[in-house]
Amino acid sequence: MRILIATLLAAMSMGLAGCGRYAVRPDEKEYLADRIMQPDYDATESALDQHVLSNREGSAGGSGASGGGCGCN
Amino acid sequence: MQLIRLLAAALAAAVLTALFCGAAFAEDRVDASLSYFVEPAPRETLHVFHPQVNANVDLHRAISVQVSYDADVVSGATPRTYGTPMDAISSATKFSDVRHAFHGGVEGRIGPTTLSAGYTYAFENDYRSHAIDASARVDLWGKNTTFRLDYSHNFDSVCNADNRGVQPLERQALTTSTGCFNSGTKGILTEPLAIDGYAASWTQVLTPIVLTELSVGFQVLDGFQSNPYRRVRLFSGTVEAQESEPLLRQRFSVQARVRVAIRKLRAAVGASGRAYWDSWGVKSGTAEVSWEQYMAPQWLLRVRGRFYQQGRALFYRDAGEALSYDAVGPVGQYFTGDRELSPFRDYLAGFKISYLKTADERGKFWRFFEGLDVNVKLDLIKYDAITPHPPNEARSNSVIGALISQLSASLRW
Repeated sequence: MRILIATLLAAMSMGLAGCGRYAVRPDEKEYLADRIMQPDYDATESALDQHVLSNREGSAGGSGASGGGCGCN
Repeated sequence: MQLIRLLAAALAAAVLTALFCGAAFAEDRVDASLSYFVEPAPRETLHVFHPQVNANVDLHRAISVQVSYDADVVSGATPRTYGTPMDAISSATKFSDVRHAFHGGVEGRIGPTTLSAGYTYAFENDYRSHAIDASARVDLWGKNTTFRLDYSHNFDSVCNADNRGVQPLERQALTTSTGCFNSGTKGILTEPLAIDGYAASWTQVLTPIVLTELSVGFQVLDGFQSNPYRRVRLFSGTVEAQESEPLLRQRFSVQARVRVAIRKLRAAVGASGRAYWDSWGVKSGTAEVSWEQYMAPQWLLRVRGRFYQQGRALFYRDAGEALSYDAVGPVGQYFTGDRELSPFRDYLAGFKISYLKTADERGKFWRFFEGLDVNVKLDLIKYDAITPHPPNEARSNSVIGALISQLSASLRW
């Protein structure tokens, strides 16, 4: 329940900050457009990280859609 | 659930709106990488080579297709039996296997909405997987807000010894993958495993230099999830049976990420946190920070650190503890030697260097291309067992628990 409340509070904060009159205009997105501001810009690396760590740790999955089997032995 | 309903409603509205809007081209690209994972062990080190190739091509201004192939070439050794006295690596079973995975997908863009669907087929000696996936993404309010929904379903098959009608304490482990998926092989059968994955994410631009993302995930696994080869010693060694894990597992996760641009330094700092819990009693937390820095216009350096900690599954017991399976028997009807269900933490530290070449005002380079990235990365992982009992505590002994290296290149036109 605490996690749910924290999630909702975070979501409300994000919405209030991003959807109000302070929304960022296209001409203000010079830095946001840079690759270093995109968390999953290198999709190949993200897939590798998820594949490797999900086979070594017990909390794989649950973070997104995926597929393709095990390869873990 | 209400959040997912709201997201679905927003998505439906966006799709309708998008029917009256134009579409933009995506990027044609090819990505290739070779990764090497190594986990040192006293006698037999685990090695995994992972080649991967992706291609993304536009068929139409609003439709693109993606195909990819990747493989895991695995070799190492695994203890034959989990229990006391510890089964030394010297008596471990050596193994080698190759997993191949082929993926094909299509993506359509209609105004602010992107819809995609794909299919993956993966196979190895003892495991086969057919997976379908679909996702929908919509950019709203000046592209300051992005909602995304994902769904996937796996129709997986696991090779196992024929233990039909046998009680858990009498089940035999699989001894070889020879004959797997051959219906004529006596004593071997195929166990089904269905996996449904759901995810929703919300990315929000907060200011010209701050980007945030909140995502939730839910996954249900229904079917055979034990390691078919692993045996567990119980009742002072009078019983050795195949590992027994529940058939149903439900996983939940919540993740938040933030990125902040450091304008004066041409850098960005990222941070993320993830909470996870499941119906087997495993709870975990992950925290990660990263720093990306342009060293020169064409050179990018990233350093990162990650911390992960998990508690044990309700039915996991270290082999050396007082209430081990060997001493008092199974927990209910379950017993496992899966170290992924043990309590431990790990630390990851690594760097990545990228060389970036892009088209400029003089036009495309080499006459045809718009971008080329070449990346080299290296990550080190240190494992730290939380309990003092073997075999889990042995994971703390190595200074380097595992090493991940990757060389990759991406070409865009």
